[in-house]
Amino acid sequence: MQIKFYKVKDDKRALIKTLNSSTLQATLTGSIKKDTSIIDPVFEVSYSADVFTSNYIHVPAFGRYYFINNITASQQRLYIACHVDVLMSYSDQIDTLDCVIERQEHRSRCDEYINDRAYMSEARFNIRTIPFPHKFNKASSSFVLTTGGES
Amino acid sequence: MAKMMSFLGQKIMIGELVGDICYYNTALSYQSTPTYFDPFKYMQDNGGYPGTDHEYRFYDPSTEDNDPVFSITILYASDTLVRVGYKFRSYTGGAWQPWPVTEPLIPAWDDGYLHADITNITEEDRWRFGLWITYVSVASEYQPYNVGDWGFALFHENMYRDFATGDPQVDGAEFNDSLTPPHYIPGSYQTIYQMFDHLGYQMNFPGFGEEWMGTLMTPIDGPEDDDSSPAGGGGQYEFPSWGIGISELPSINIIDSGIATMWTPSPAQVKNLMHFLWSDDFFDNIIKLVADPLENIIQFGVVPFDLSSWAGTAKEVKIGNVGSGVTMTPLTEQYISYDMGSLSIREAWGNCLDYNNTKVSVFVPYVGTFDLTPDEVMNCDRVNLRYNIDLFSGDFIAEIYVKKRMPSGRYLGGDGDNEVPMYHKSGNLMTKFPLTGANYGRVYTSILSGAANAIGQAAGGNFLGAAEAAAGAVLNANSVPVERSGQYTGVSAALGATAPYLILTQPVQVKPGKYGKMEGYPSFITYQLGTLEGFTKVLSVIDNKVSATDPEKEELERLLHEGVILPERD
Repeated sequence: MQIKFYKVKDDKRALIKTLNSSTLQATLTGSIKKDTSIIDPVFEVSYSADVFTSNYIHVPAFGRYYFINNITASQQRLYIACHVDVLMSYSDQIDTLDCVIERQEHRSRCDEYINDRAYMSEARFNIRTIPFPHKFNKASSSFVLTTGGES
Repeated sequence: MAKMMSFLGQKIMIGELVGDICYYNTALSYQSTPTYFDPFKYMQDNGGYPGTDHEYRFYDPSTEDNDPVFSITILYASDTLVRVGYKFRSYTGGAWQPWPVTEPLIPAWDDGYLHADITNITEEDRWRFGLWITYVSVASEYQPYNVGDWGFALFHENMYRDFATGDPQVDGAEFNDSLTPPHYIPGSYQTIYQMFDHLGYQMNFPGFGEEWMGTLMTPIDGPEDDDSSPAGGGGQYEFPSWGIGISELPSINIIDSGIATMWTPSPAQVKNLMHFLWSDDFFDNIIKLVADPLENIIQFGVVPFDLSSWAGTAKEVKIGNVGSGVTMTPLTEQYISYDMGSLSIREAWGNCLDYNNTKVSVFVPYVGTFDLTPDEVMNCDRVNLRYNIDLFSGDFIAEIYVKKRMPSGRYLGGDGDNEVPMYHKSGNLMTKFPLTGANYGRVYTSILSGAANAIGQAAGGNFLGAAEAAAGAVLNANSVPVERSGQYTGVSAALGATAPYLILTQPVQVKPGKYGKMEGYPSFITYQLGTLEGFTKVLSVIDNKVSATDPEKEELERLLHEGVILPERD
């Protein structure tokens, strides 16, 4: 089966990994090691120096993408131990999922008035005073005298 | 013992049943082991109607007087029972009269309630009667007849008692008013009902007597005894608010009455008047209507603002109808409004810190410092402080008006230019002066008593202007409460600050750069992931329809919960 080897720098949490000609390291023909799983497979390929610079593979026959966890060599054969990248492998379907979002990078998608313990603040506080426009003016104090009856 | 039960969702108070209960129909009599009872078959086999009879005696437990019954209402519900009949027999002449041999009477039907007048018995015997309740026919489509429950609620109504209000026993006997003929007074003080289960067995209720040997089956209970059922969710999602209006001043005052005249004299005019009061002319000419001519001076004090806006045309002051020769400016109003103006407050952070961790206090002259709710004033259109003052006594109400658009989008107080008085504090801002030694002694005593009671209250009207004690506590990071003002009593209020102001204690937010990429902001909104970009943490996947293996699906949801980075969308 065809196995494409890539050297990616994307965060593992990224839904889409950058797979293009600049990240492609090699396209090799390989086989799966006996009794391997589709989630944590071990592939066998012929020796190629490009394999050692790779950290990611695409196996079209499996319809999946994999992180390379380990590479072992034995007698001109390389054994690539992998773990499935579920994000990249199912990215199209993941985009169709409706989810209740807990946190999001962009504020336009958020409600920052929700009580959020993640907000940090100092032990210090800013204290300020804001006067009303008017006040009592003792310098303009007035007597008030009340007398009985009309004058 | 009365017991509260529920029937058809309505609460019914079971009154006390006194006396023996007789079974007429042995098919429904004492059974230690319940057996299936087929009423339809019984009718076919026996050519008659099974039923039960009960002797009811009604009395008023408060007086132990026999309570005559003039009518009964039988309430029933059943998915098998179609028509209900009854027979009535009276206890007259010291003995029970025989049951009528006629067919069961079928009372008028009225929305599931059957009314029957109890007639042909004397009034003294109306408190005791036998009632035989049966069913006339059963809907054949409900075979077998062990489905559903059927029961009777028996209301007894006493037309001579009006228990419509104030009688706690009436509260349990609520039923549809529309079924009450004019001569019935609903909700009479005793309501008894008999419940039958779907096997035709009467249910046992405490207080019915030891001879009651019916088998207790599942009673028909109201919603509060059943399993929980769906409720709620029908909110209108509307938050209307209506204007309260500005507090109005009284329309009539002491000036209008002519009882007194209020002046705003200058210091020189006061001196001239005092000179007149103690002059020989005063004592020679005063019409001695009062023992102490100074009693014509009702009160004298100082307010901390200019009164020229409420001053009339100067004229001579008369004391005891004697012209003093002193000219003063009279006041045209007793009640005035003194507006301190408005201000607005803007959020510092635009998030929950502006509300949860922010404290807003206000210093109000002659009152002290007290707290405001950030929800009311933060990001408001305006906060307005206004005093309504009685210039006669110096008492005032200081009100804080707020105009703000709420999170619902509606304005507090309704749309338009409405303000709502959200805070009200009272006090006294007049420094009063005694005119004699005796007067000083009187007011000094009342000042002391007023000071003792000044906490949380306004102690006004006497020599020393008093104001409400208030404490604006601020919780800092160490949670140490702070008192910004103590007790405002005595002359301290007049010596204190006269400029009102807000005090905002706001947190210092700490947020690193690229916080959104690292942690994200709180959302709790439903989105399709394909519409989002950047760091996204999922609370829950509404429907995981990804065609992956189960372990892959579990890992996918775990990653979504931990947070993923979605690509930029075109």
